[in-house]
Amino acid sequence: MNRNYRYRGLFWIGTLIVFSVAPVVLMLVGPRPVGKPFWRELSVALGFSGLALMSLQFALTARLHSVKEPFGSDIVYFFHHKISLLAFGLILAHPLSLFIFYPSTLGLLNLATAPWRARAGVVSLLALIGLIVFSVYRKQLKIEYNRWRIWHGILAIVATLLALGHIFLVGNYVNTPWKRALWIVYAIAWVGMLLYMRVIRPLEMLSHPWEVEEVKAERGLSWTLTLKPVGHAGMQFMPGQFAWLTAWNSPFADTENPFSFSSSAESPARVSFTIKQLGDFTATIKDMKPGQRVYLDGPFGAFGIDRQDHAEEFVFIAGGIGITPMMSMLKTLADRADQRPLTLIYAGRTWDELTFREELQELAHRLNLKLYFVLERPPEDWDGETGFVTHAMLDRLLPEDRTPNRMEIFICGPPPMMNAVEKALLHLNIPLEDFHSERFDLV
Amino acid sequence: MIRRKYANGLVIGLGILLLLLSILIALSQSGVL
Repeated sequence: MNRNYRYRGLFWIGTLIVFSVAPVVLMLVGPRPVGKPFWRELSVALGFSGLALMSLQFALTARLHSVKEPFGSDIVYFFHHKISLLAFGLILAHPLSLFIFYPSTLGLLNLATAPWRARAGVVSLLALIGLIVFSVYRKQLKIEYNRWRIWHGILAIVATLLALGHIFLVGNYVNTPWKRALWIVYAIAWVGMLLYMRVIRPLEMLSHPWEVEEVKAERGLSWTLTLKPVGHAGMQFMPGQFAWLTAWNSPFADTENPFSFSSSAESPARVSFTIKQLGDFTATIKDMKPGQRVYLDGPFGAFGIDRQDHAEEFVFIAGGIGITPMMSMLKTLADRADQRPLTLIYAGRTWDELTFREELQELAHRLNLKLYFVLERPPEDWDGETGFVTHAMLDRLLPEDRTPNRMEIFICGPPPMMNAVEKALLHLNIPLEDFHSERFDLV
Repeated sequence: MIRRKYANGLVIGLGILLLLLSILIALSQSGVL
């Protein structure tokens, strides 16, 4: 990570910590409510801590370029998942500790008789439980991605605003005008983030439309979608990055999906995405027609050679459709006539399903590229690598000079493969700083 | 992988910080401190 990104990253982490603890610290500042027993006070403080963290999720998921750029979108979503679970735990501890130490408070669960302050709290908690359950078990519950996204947003707003209502109705720790003002500013900031995501960004996308130029079938049930800008200069991206694609709908419909660019970053006015048919939206790519209007939001992601330009050598380890960001990097390196040594280890099920097989073999002539195909089910006459990418295979295929900070390794593929490769690289004493993974399993 | 490690560290750090602050508030408000 270069110095600029490091400073910006540290700035945002500092901001995050300040905004996380500020509401809790401010509980101790100024006139305080009459003190109550320890467990009751702890319960309240945990609730405030949880809400402070929960409200920050609006900023983490608002797709603000300057926030995501230093870290990469995948890690921001990873952090969002983890910190949301922490916020949920803290919030859940608030009623649970009350129920345990003050069993009479259990009566507040009866919505018919409970006061409004408790109703707001209970419904907020139910919305939050729904939010967490639908997110953690989305795939098991077979909830379609775009449907889940809409409900995720609605439940988040309901949970947060009702939690705020609960705080105001209870009235503890918001007993001065400036404390009330602070929470109102927080709420306005959340609504502002939502407005940015749901109104301003879609408007920007609408004013920078794209048009389908070509839809080309590729090996492995994949399609390369090539787009050209309509009335603007295109999108300057770094190879390895991705963008959110909206097709068949207006950007306001909030039905977008993230895909890596598979084209060269040297051609920002003609971008391609190679998309494997995996169900839902991806099954509709083949039906797109030249001239069709689509919208892009991006670029995003910290995965790529341009962020590691100091490297003397690059290694790419791809599995299946994880080849797309590698393809963009290789094409870009070829267009830049970069002659640094490169190694690509590309695993797939069968020879016929290897997306970009021929193009990669052509690229090997233009680049200083060693190409290794690893087949799970090889044909009978296959004399290349077989099975899965293992520790022993990597030890054999990786460049011999493994001096730290000399080569940078990029990994993209199915999660089990990425986990296995990361583990193997650590066993091979490759420093953590020298390998980078792109995980698209955002939800 | 290293970014995930840092992210996990930040989550754990924030969790501990908020828990300690909550305990501090509870001790202070309940008259123990």
